[in-house]
Amino acid sequence: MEKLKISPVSRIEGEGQITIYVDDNGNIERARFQMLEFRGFEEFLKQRPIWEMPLITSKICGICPIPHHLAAVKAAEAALGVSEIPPLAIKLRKLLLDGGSIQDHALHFIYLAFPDFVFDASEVKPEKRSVIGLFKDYPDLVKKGIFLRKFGVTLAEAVGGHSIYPTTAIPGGMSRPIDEQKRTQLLDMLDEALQYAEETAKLAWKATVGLSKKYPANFSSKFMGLSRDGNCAHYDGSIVVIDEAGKVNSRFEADDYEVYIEESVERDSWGKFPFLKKQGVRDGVYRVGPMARLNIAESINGESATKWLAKYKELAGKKPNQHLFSYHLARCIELVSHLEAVGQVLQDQNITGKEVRTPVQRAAGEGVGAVEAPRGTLIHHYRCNDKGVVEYANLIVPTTHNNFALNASLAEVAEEVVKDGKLDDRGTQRMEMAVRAYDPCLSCATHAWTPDKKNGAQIKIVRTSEQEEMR
Amino acid sequence: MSEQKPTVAIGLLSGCFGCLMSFLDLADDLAEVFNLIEFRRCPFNDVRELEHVTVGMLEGALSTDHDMKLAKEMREKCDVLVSLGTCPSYGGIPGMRNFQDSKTICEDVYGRRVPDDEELPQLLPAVVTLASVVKVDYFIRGCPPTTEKIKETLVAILEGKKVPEKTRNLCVECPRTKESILTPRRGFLTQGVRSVMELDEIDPTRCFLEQGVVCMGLVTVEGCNARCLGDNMPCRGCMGPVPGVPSQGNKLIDAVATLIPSGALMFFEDSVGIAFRYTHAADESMRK
Ligand code: SF4
Ligand code: SF4
Ligand code: SF4
Repeated sequence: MEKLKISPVSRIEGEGQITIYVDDNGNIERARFQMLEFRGFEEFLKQRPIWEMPLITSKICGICPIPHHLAAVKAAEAALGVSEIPPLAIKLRKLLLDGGSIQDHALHFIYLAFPDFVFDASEVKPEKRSVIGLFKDYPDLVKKGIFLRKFGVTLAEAVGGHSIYPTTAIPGGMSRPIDEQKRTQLLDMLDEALQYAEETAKLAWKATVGLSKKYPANFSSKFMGLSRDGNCAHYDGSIVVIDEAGKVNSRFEADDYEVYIEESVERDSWGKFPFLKKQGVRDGVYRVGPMARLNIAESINGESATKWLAKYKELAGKKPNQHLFSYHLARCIELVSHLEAVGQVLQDQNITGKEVRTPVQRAAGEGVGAVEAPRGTLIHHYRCNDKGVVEYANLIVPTTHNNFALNASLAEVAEEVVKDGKLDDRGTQRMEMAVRAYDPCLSCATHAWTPDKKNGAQIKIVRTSEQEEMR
Repeated sequence: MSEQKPTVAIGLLSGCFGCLMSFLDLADDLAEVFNLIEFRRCPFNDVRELEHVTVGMLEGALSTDHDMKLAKEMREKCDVLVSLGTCPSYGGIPGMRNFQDSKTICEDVYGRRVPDDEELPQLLPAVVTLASVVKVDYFIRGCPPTTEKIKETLVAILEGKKVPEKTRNLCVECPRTKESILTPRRGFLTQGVRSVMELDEIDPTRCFLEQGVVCMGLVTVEGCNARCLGDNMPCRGCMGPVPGVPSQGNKLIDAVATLIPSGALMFFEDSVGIAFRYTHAADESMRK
């Protein structure tokens, strides 16, 4: 067997590689995206106090620390039996999540993915295929990206303290309110940010429609995401799964995730492979992230975003969008929606009110918290004893949900671009573009689902034959 | 051809990308940086090969054999090597995995089928610091370091200067006041140790230790502008110890033992996970 390797995969968050396994007849046997780092969070979260979870898990990922911070605090609240926190605290947490997503979506689309749309690897040197190269040829676009990120970071800091190390969400609410000066500062920046987001969505539309025509993709899957009464939700809501036709396959509360999701281990990846239990490995493949959320949503926050959502839905003729490049468009539509939502909330002066927490005492319990991170559904699950010490911890991160799908997309592209057992520069770029569409986050994905020995959760070993059938 | 600019390479070990995000937060100053230096192998472009460069920065902890290889290769190819963030400098959060041995971790996580494809990196027995493996020229502390610190250090390197070392503890930057700590007394300062969420009110003006909440500021080096304290949260020590202090964790345990009833120290629920959160891998006293 031959192996083709792309290492490290560039312009993604973390150190990873693609390995294409080619059999002796030159056929692609499988393609794998492999992470090259390991940290093993679930193990050392055990024995720590549950109220420290939001502070430790925010270090899982420097790109989306905020969703981890919030999923952890929600799970901790569930475990400690906190049934209600001040409504203002919930509003602030939603703002915090918006801020994180705004900076992240802008980073991903403009800094990391966009160079692919204008710099073809068969013509442009590797140094140039970057945000720095982009800055030389398209300085305005990069400046807009910088401004969008700055808006997101400023918002995250105003609410969360720090955008990379948020600290203010604690069980019971927030450690402090936000101040009036920040509110007005953000409102002053809002119009400009909205205008840039709108332009970004237009660019994404062009890129997505163009690329999907040029490079058709056949892989299709189910989709999972949070939704509240049909509205695209990020902080709360139920988990909804839709099938290939767009019909609701299942709807459940985060607490029941173990009933619906199962995970498998494979020998050639540190990441695990979740699938829908009921459908089994082959039919139970689903995707999460911006494309999944918009496929599931019947409505979305914001006037302009609502129009965009309608256009997005028409792209695939009312069925779920399946093309991997639709991720980019969905991401930028969300960018518009987040900004519109933030505008509405910040207009309200009461947002700077002081009632942001209620005291919480330690207690034994078990709880699950789910939020939508930029890359998809994020689930934290803890059990603690009466001293508040964590005895069991389990995290399912977005990149892991997408593992099966990402590898299947890679195999599909490999069929097309590997010629005579070789990859040229453009072929390499095409493979990497597939990875970037999913926007995997390796620092997140190197945490695996710890089997709960007490409750006996099972890990399924997938046989190679099953994998092949899936492709 | 224009004048040759200093070249920079960035390598990612087992980290979280947060240090690089802090670099990207240079925002409007980014253009200036792009003009000053030229990036070679780094996560922002498509250069895969590591060639000789002026400055190399490594983010993340040394946790796998791949990390080890990359660290050594970077040392060979970079004139100046920078340990970016608390992960490579002290082991950081990933260093907490040293509480257990790597075999137990893998078996707990993956059951009886631990992934073993030859393409996958293997775990080192424990996380180690960058300086214990190769010579490091500059350290940038913090998890993540402040954007200003990254800029200051880069500029100093380009100008061939040293960065002035911080020597005091974080309390000097903290806006909170100490009162009862400084008043002579016979008894202990607080009744016990509490977590922030348990306080009726979190007093934003008073030292956390006086409120019965463990704060690492006492044993942590200044330099982050006491950012967590301003957000009404205690410090967790991410900047690492004050220079000259061999063990940030033991120092903290000493300190709280004198402040709170010694019986209460037993209820300081996670002395290891808080006191040694960022420096476990670097701390000689924690070796098994
Ligand atoms: S030092 Fe902190 S911010 Fe930097 S990589 Fe390590 S965990 Fe992330
Ligand atoms: S111990 Fe903590 S709260 Fe007290 S003064 Fe020092 S940094 Fe501030
Ligand atoms: S206050 Fe402490 S934990 Fe917070 S950033 Fe500063 S050194 Fe790190």
